[in-house]
Amino acid sequence: MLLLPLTIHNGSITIVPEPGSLALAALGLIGMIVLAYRRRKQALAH
Amino acid sequence: MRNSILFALALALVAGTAQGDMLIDVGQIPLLPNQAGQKVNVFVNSDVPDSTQGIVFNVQLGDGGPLLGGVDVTPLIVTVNAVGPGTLFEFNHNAPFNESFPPSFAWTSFADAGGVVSIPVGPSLLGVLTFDTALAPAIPRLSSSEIRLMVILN
Repeated sequence: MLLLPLTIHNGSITIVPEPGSLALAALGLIGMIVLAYRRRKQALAH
Repeated sequence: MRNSILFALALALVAGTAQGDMLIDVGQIPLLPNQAGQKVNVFVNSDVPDSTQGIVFNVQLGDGGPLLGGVDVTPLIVTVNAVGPGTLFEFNHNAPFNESFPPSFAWTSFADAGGVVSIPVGPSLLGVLTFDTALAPAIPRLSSSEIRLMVILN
């Protein structure tokens, strides 16, 4: 026989990308930034 | 006067320690995409020892989904298992009655096989929820939704 009051703090579920996917996306972003930087540097040189 | 204050303080202290509480804190649960069989443990935390003779354990995601009159298409809650290894009721339970209204509602209910099940001080594993994010419905699933538990220990 339960004597104590039972309190429930509800929450949420979230589908999060796998760490591998996040790392891949970050690498892609860094690559894009580097590419844009190089192109801009080349354009300024000419 | 001084004695009265000391008495009041002692009374408050006794009342404070005698009154316990039992808490389930669900928190934020991360799920991986496209993966079946993702298990999440639900613990009940008690301040003082107690006991129970059975449980009704409901889990609802979002508004309950279309089968319960809602509109949310949530990740799939597959089962609520409150008699598995390490759970409070593992060694003392009748056959559980399990039912689900996929994708957003599942529940289990049963009584102890005999006597009572002790609830010790501290955290105890109450049940294990299993989710599936691999099945692709016609309508895309929400990537995030509320999870609401309704637990009756009696």
